[in-house]
Amino acid sequence: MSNAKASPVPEVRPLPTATASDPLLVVENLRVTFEQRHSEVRAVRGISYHIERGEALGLVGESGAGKSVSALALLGLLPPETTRVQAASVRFEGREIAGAGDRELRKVRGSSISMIFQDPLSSLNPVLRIGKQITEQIREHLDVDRAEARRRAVHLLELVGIPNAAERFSSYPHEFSGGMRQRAMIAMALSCDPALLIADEPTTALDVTIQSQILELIGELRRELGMALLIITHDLGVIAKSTERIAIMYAGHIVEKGPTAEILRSPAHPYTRGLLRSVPRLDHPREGKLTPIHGNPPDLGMKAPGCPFRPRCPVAVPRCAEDNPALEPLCPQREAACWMPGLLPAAAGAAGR
Amino acid sequence: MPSSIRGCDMSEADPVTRLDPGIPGADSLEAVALVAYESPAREKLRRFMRHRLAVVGAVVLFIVVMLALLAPLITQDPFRSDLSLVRQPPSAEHWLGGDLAGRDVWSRVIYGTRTSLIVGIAATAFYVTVGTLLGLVAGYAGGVVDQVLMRVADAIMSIPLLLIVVVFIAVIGPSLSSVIIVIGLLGWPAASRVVRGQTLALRESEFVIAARVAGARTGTILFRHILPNLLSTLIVVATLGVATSIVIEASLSFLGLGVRPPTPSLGIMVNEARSPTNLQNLPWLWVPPAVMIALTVLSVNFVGDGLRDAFDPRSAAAGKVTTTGGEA
Repeated sequence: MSNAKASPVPEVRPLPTATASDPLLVVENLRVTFEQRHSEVRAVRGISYHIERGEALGLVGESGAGKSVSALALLGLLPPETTRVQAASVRFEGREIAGAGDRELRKVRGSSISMIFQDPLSSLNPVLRIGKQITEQIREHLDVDRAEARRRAVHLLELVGIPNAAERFSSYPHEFSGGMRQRAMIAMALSCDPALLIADEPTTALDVTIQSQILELIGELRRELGMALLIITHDLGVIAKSTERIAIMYAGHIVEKGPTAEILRSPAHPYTRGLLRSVPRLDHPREGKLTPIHGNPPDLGMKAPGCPFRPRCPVAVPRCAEDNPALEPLCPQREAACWMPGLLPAAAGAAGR
Repeated sequence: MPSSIRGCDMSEADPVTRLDPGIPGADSLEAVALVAYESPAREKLRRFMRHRLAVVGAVVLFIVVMLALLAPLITQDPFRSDLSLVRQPPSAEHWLGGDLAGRDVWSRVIYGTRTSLIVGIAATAFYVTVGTLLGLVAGYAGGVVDQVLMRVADAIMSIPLLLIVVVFIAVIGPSLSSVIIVIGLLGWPAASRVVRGQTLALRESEFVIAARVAGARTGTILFRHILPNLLSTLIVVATLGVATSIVIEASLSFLGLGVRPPTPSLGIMVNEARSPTNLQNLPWLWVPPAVMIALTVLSVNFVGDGLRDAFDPRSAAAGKVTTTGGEA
């Protein structure tokens, strides 16, 4: 993005140096460790994934699985005093950004990669007008004057469906409802036409009715702007609606990865199966009771060998206590980290088409 | 602002409805929510008005400030000695009589108030600015920078203010500007601590993280995102600081370490009248300046308290927290 400033028409992102067939974002073996006084917490333990241009990837897992942390780590937003971020490689638009300095990452943040958060109220500065917060971001990254920034901001507010955008430009965050605030956050995130939008639990703090509106809006904007989406959530409903592929995270590992529809239909990893069984489905006839996953997620300080899901796993075998299974291809496009991956025969056939 | 709102794209209103048909219904809901909301400024004003002493303080302070501003119009020359006026009691022509050198006391009180306000405001502006900058840096940078700045602040705050001021003045010589400089240099720790504390909290707030995600520079984050959130605190700190500064100036001038005569200063006026016979026989020499100091400081303090309650409803019962050793 460094040459964006020099480009005469700042709205148009210059063609990336890499070939177009390259994925937009490639993350290889990302590790995040929080160092505490006498211990360390290995929050993310070597995850790899990629996102194609315009694709939507869902990162799913329960609290503490390392979803958000891994996203913040990509952008270099974790406090350096207490965090160690390592990665074999993080390539964005073909450029290596692992280990890049803050100056370099700052150019990427907000312009090529944007992020929206769970709670739009606390993510907006309470004492600044909405419009101001958007124009500020625009002017941070694009060389435009005040009037042009304002015009773009109003347009963005319209784009995300805020009525009377020109008037709402000068509202304060507290004058917006929850859904409107999230719309404003999205407008802000879109302000520099990002290639990738990271949405960290974008609908968790919203009413159910608003949730689907926001998801639809994100999906619509994504298609319209050709933007890729990394959506972080524990909500499988959100995932089903808005992603093409998912990666299931458990205790800092990705345990299963593949096309959303297939994984939801025939989960291979016992954890994924557990997740799906613990969610009520409206589109299926009820098949008995919901089954919770028993036990708690492991302490992330632990260093015991073996699969981290073993203590809660219904299909564990002795080998699970000794070796932690790596993520292995199961069938085309699908990977799971399990010694006993189970695919329902029908689904396996479908996946292996 | 309104003109630009009107000027802006009613023509582009279309895409909204086209893009999201779900919203027009939300519009009316929004309007309801808006009506129920009181604007923050108005809410603060209402809370301030409820604080009766603060309102009285504001009125008194307004009168005092107007007197000081209009001094040339409502007084005579405060420097002119008139031998026939020496030790004269108040009269129709000289409302507060004459002092030991035959000068008009009323004029000197008003000009003295001017001096007090100048010192109070200038010194406070100085130290609140310095304190805010250092507090922001300490709070945001953390680590060694924070430790060093805060230990220096601790050191300054651990020495009795008046003592260190006396030493300073002895070194740089007494004058109006040295009083301002000294108060400014020594007052910042109080302000910087408050600012640092809030910066520490705000640094971890989600909107600051969101701003960083958006690629904001450190400067932008400090001055655009954090500083405006500190404004209410700073206003309170500054108001109470003005009162403290006025007291310090009066004390220093009384001790002969502040403003140099013949510049009119309330502290000097009290000092000049300090012999027992004068205190007893010529009360118009010292009562007016003393009353003026008390009035100004009290009203500023009340206004400060009112502002604090207005900005932070929780502090209403908490009592005085911010007052900075004003009894010097």
